[in-house]
Amino acid sequence: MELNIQNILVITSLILAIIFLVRKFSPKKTKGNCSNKDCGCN
Amino acid sequence: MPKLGDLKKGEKGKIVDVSSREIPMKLLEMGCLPGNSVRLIQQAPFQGPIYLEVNGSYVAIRKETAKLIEIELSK
Amino acid sequence: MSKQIKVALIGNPNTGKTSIFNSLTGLNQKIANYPGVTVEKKEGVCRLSRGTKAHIFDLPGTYSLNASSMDENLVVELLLNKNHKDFPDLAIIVSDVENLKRNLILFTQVKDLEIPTVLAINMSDRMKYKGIELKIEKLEKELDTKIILTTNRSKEWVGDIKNLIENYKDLSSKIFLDTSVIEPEYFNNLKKIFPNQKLYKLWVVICQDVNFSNVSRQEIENSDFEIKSTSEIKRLQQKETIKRYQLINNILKEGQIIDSSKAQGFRAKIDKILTHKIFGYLIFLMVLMAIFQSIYEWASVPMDLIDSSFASLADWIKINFPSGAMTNLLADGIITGIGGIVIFIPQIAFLFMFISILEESGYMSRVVFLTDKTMQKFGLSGKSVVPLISGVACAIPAIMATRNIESWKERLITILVTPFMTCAARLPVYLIIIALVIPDEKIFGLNYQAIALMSLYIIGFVTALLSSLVLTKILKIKKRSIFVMEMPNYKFPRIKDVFYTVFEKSKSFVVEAGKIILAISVILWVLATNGIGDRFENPRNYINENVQEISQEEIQALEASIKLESSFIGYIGKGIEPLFKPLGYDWKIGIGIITSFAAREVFVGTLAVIYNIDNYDDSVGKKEEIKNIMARETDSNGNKIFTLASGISLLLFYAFAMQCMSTLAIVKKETNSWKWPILQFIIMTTLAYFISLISFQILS
Repeated sequence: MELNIQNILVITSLILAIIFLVRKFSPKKTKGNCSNKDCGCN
Repeated sequence: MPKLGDLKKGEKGKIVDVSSREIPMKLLEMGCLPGNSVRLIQQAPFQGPIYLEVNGSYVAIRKETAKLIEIELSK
Repeated sequence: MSKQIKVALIGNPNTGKTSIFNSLTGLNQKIANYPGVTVEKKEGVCRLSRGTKAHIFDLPGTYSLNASSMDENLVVELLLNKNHKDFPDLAIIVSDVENLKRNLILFTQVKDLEIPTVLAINMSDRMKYKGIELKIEKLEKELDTKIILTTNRSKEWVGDIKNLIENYKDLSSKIFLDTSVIEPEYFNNLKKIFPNQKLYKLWVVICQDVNFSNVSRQEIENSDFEIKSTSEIKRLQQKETIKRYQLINNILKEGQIIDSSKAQGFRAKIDKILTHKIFGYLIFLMVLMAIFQSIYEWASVPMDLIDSSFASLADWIKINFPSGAMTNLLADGIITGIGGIVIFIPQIAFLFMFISILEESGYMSRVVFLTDKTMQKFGLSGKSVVPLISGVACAIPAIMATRNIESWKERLITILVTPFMTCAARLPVYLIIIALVIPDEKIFGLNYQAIALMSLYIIGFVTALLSSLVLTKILKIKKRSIFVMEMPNYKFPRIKDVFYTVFEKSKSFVVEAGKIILAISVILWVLATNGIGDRFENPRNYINENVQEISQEEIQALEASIKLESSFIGYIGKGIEPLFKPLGYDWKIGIGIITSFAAREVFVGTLAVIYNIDNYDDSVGKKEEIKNIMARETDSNGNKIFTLASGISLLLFYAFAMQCMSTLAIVKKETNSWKWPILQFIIMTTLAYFISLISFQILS
């Protein structure tokens, strides 16, 4: 693939897309709201 | 002692006791407390929930809960 | 920069809190209700005079600070934690003029936390009609607060509230009820052990598992202070509620006059019909049918418009941009992929609109009342009806709507089965496959295609019910039959509020899905237009047919298809083909299924991108509809790919499979465990695979 402006743009978008998806779907630590017991009532 | 679950559509009563542990706090906060009057507005089919007016609030609860609340029938 | 004042809007459900929020903030608001955020949080900016700004937080509706649901818990957690970044400088308690007594319980509790508090009495325009009279000055004095009468009819009060917010430092933050009055012995003892803590705060913490700055539950448990049994605490909570009611009653006796002869006539009449044991159900069915009908009828016009605009946009880019890889990516990858989702905005917006109207008007509670018993037979609650109906739009808000289901078992089952409901993201897939394989003919005046679509909705609903039935049997969770629901007054939904809801919800749906589709389209396009090896570089050498006998165009078409097969995506597709072959899919559909595990609606975009590249015609002129390209697809033996058998198999796969990462993320969040989303994924997808396998093998 020769290096012209269009190809560079495509490669940039590809990298951005991959970074976005990886960050979006990598499991992150979240604070829980609710324990697994009968939390709906007291 | 009659229970809230025994009320028929349109009947009124006065709440006497709500001390059972199975009665959710939320119901008490809605005004379902001893001394307040209660009226059954509608009964859902097949022994479904009942629709009450209590202390100016309108609330629906299940029959099982209503059977735990002691009332005094009033005319 | 001037200081920003933080304001918490707190109130019982159904008090019109949202209307007040909208009036104060306008469209300067954001609802964060997607993965990455813990709970639905509405936040908006309100401009005050002299360039100051107030940050308004619309907290979930709650009846008291004795939180019994997760949403309510959030309110308590925020109000207890002085170090929280959103900890309010003042609280506005919104109450409904007709339920003042009950609303004041929450008001007095917030006040006891020593937070400066304003009381907004909403729907004040109904006072006269309801025969209510308020002595504002008297109430302000007794409750030690400022009162603002609010209404949807006029805007005069907005200025008054802004004034109070600006001068919040003048507001009183004295407590209303001395907590120790509830039971002197217990509370004085508590005070002795934790002399540095505020008594009411301590009490709220003891009542629930909330962490706050200095005293955590654990510390209380570790100290020599004896925690009373649950029933003891409940007894004290009851005493507290009774005490508060007593004080409020005394205040209202003088501050509020109610002429009860102006009774609840309107409400009673409507309830008589809407909760009737026969008409109630008939009306509910009719409402549902009317909603579906109008979604399809009304949405078709804007949908066609969007469809044609995207096609011409892609053409325009190809003609006017300098030719090259990026231009092709834009036209064939990005525009085609995004167009695949944007087209569904009208239907999604209509769905959100109807659901919002049903909830705002107070009708939804009547439906819950009517269906509770039936839903209980399947192990669900009447309150599951709301998530199930919302699930037809999108499972994510639907699963969040399960929070007010009191019983954990009923709630968990609702969360697990809601993804079977036919969500808006399945619609694009269904519509395109149905158009391909089901004849556009009529039987008894009913269109086959419409019947097919209807059946898919029914399959989704029935599967949800049947799985609940199975889950109730297998899940070993003790079930308590708890169900308390307020039956709110009927209200005519405020158009502005409905509009805001529709706008915000559709926006986040499209933006969230759009970002994923955009990224996947780019990757797919690159993978499909690049490859290694001689087959990719010189496809012409691999055409088997006798070249003399076919035309120039056909050669080029064959070349394009060989090139795609030997591109990166082609290799991946061929690799997974054995898995999907028994279901009747070729490798391109296989790629579509793999990519749509992120989000279902990506399927159509994926096929659009793949077929667009394969389709030789598009350099000549007008874009062809993807549907026609798909209809022409054949395998190596010349057999059609999209037949009745493979089509039905594909439809069923999408009906059952768990293909939505966002839903899995929200299930994880709401159940606080990876166990449930993982089980949900495995079971739903296995089910989908085998049902599709069986149906294809029978039909073909």
